[in-house]
Amino acid sequence: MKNHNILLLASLPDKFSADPSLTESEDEKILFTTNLGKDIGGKLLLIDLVLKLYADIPYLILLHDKRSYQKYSGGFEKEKLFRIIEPTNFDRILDKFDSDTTTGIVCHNGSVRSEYDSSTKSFDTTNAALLQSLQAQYDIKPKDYSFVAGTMFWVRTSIFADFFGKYSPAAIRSTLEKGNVLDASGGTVTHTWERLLSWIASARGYKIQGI
Amino acid sequence: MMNRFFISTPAHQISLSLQDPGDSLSPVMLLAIDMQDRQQVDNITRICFSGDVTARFVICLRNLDHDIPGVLNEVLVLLSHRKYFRVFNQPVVFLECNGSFDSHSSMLKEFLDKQGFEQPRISGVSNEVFNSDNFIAAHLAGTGQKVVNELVEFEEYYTDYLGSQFDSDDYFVIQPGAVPVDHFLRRMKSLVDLFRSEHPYEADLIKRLVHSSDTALIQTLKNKALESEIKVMDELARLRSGNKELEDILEFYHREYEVLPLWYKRVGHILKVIMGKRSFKSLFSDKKQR
Repeated sequence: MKNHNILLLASLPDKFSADPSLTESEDEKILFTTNLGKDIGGKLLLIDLVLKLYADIPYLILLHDKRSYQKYSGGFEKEKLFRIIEPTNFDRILDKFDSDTTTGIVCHNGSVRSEYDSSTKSFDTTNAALLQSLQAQYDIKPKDYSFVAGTMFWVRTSIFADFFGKYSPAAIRSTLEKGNVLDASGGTVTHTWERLLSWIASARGYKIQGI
Repeated sequence: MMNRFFISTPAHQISLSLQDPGDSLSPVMLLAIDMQDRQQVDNITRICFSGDVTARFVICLRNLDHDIPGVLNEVLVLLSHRKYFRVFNQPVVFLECNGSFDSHSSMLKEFLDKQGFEQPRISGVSNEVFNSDNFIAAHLAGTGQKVVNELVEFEEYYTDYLGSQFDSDDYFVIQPGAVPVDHFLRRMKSLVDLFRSEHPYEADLIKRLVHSSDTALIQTLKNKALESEIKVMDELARLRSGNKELEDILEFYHREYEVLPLWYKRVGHILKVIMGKRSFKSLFSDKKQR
């Protein structure tokens, strides 16, 4: 992102690999990889590259081509999620980080969700069991179980550097399911990490802020 | 004809070698990485992703050890580099043979499989190639390997190879040693030119064979990408047909709004007028509000 101290990490499906507009430059790096964990697998690999080469850049934006054709609301959701890359919103977003050092993630207001039921102390999702086991495995214990549904948000690079310095993104990637998995009928490691990526910040005392 | 050379690149020349030397000469650079040396892995990664890397490259893993957990994770970004050499979209990875090729090859295969690479090409290269200061060429055909130690001897061998043994799946690993890389490439170019002038029909056949094989590969990859896209769309259409989102919204509307008494809804419309959300006149119109 020229003129801004930000890195945009975009995970795209393989149909984009033949797109001639995808050319490498000093500001743009492209990785070609397998479809493992859909956008999450791509994002983990990009995070790996960021930590190897650009760990000093303060903010990352996680993005992917959102294609929720299976839902009537898919189009609205996509529009909402993409507002975080409208340059007119950049100042507001950066202000959220600057004015409050505990802001770890900034996303669109409507994409923050929580599936935690405090009365039963359980998660209302097919991924509930996986959430509990992976939380224990990776020592992710947030006080607030809100997460950014759709995994498109700004995040402080230092938060990911701290976590992924201990747990290799590539190793985590290898645990994700192959292909375009969905979690409608059963939990998946991929959709569990959709939630955990937000909780990495919450577990370190950072807040998720909406715009 | 020149595209199937892997030139072993000394560590201090990596940044120079990653520049494509020209149109007809585009060997693949073979970067040997000592897996015991994390700093070297980091440096090579930095070089490959910095600046304008124009040459294709592959990596050769040296000193791979079962005792270093997760060491292979460190090279995943290299394997995903835009210029990384692949065959049928699968990365080609070389392993230095030091007596434990089978176990290290299984370790590497398992790692690549977990990263979603279905049929990676793993080839063993004699450690003689990397530990010599002399010119060495290894011809890798299937599992066989023939090592030639002199440039002149290799030129004779390669001329014979083009005339009678050419196979589009073969490749050669070259350690130039004392022979400068550009000198070697020039020698090979003049050798190929000579072969073309002396054996025009064979040369044309090889050219067509390589072209057809490349075209077939591109078409296969495009086809695969389209098949994958169709699969995703089919799945989304299937989910879409079973989706009850619209019914849920209608049910919510009936439960939360439609059941309210008429006087309550009318008060709501008056409130809308007061708030400027609709016109006073519209209260007396039969036209539907949109």
